[in-house]
Amino acid sequence: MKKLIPYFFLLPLLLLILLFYIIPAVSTIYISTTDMGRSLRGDLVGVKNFARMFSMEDPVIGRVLINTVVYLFGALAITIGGGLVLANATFSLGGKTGGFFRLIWFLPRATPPVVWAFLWIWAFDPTKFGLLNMIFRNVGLAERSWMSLYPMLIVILANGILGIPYTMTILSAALGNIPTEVVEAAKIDGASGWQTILKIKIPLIWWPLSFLTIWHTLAYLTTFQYILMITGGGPFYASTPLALYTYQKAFQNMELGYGSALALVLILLSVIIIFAFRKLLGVQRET
Amino acid sequence: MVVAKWNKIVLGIILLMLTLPLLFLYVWLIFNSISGKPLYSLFPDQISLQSWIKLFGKLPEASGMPASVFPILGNTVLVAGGVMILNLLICGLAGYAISRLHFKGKEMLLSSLLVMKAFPLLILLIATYFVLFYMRLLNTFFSVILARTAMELVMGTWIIKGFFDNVPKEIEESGIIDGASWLTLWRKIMIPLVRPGLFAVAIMAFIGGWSDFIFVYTFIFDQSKWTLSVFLYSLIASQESVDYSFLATVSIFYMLPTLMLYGLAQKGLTRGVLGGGIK
Repeated sequence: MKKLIPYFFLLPLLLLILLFYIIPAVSTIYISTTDMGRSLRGDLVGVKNFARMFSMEDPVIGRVLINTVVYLFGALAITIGGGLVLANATFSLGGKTGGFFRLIWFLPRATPPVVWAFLWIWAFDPTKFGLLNMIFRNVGLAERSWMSLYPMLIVILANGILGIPYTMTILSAALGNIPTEVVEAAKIDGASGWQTILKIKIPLIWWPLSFLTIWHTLAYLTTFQYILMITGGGPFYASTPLALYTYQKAFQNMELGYGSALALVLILLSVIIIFAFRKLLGVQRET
Repeated sequence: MVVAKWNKIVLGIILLMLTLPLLFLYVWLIFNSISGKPLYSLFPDQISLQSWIKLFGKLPEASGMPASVFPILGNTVLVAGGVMILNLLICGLAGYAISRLHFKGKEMLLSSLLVMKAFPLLILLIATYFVLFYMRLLNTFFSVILARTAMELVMGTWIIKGFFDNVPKEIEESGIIDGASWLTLWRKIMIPLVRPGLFAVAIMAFIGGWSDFIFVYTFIFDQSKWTLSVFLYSLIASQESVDYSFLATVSIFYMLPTLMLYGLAQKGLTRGVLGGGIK
């Protein structure tokens, strides 16, 4: 009886892990080998879904893969670069001014996803009500239909900037942990501002910096909801990375089998990344 | 010294230029909502609460849109509250067991939790849909509440475990000597001691449920079960008469609770995360 007590405490947790992690993970493998559609019942088709993917039988998959890489590196550059710049700048300013800027840059994180997407849709609205078009008109330039001109750039910006609050907060804390003597000593030795940042500060915050990079790699590889809301992946797949393509296939074309096969690729990629960088991600326990 | 001061001013100006566009997005949101009509210019030429009256009164008629915002608000509170309560219960129970009790498979559970912390749950969405279908939970609030709880609980359990780790062993032992049963010990003695952690977890879970979009959008089919997120998205996506003043008003109305909770939680969260053992 006494031995069972811990399991009473753990039961709800284990139940949800089973229902939402383990069973879905196994089901993904199963569904990916079927031709499951709208009815959620499917016949086994073996590796047909994977063959469709790898033999380029799917006419847009090449484009989707290129999009995935462009989107991943674009958003990553903005999140990490932006976070680094803002953390450094607000840290150097210090005091209330630095705190004020950090507060503003925290806003995206406290904004619900739909509102964040809305701000971008609105800013780049092709009609006269769009924010950017309003500014363009006021300085005498022609209005443009931004969403069809630069869809990829817009979703990269929207997602990349959304990551900044997190990187900024963590990197600010990391910068705060650098002993002031180290930076002072470098200055006395005649290091310029840039040299201090590149040669002293960045090496000292290398660990959190790599953690954030891997963390966001996983995030940008797998999340799609902002792109879904902002451009819907269009026009004609121009802003569709693999994660969104998976969702579109499964829930818009109702091809759950093929969608799962695509999802499985992402799951495998994520698992490989997690295990390759398990130390960095804190997955390996220090015992 | 003079150079350092000039450096700071230049830095401040660069920072301001980077921040202004972001800040302006939010300011323009407020301007639009209080001008009663969509703006063509930077600043509102009139102040009108027209859009707010519209939001709380009968909603503008459009095909497939609900007639009043209040049932949608109720649904959103229900989902967020459900996620919060379920998370508190699960994390409070599991965090205690992991921190304090001995059981078989503890090492395995700990390492799985660590992997799950990094694992992006959304890639299992298709299979989750499939599982929920067979549990006959699709198109119910439960589907969203459970899925969202599953998403939040790894971090929550980790935070609460950290708080329990910091409770001195003697307190628990004195309870055992006093003859309290294990459930009483947990409920009456241990839980009150980790209240700041529970507070942080509660707020995080509530915000998670409140802001959820993709689960509601994917698992819910009836308009009567919409939450504010899907309502706002449907308004944006609907092709009939996009009224940005009204959309801005809905956005602010939807966003205010999360902003306030974030403000409220800052202290608790910082302490929670520090105590939760992110190393």
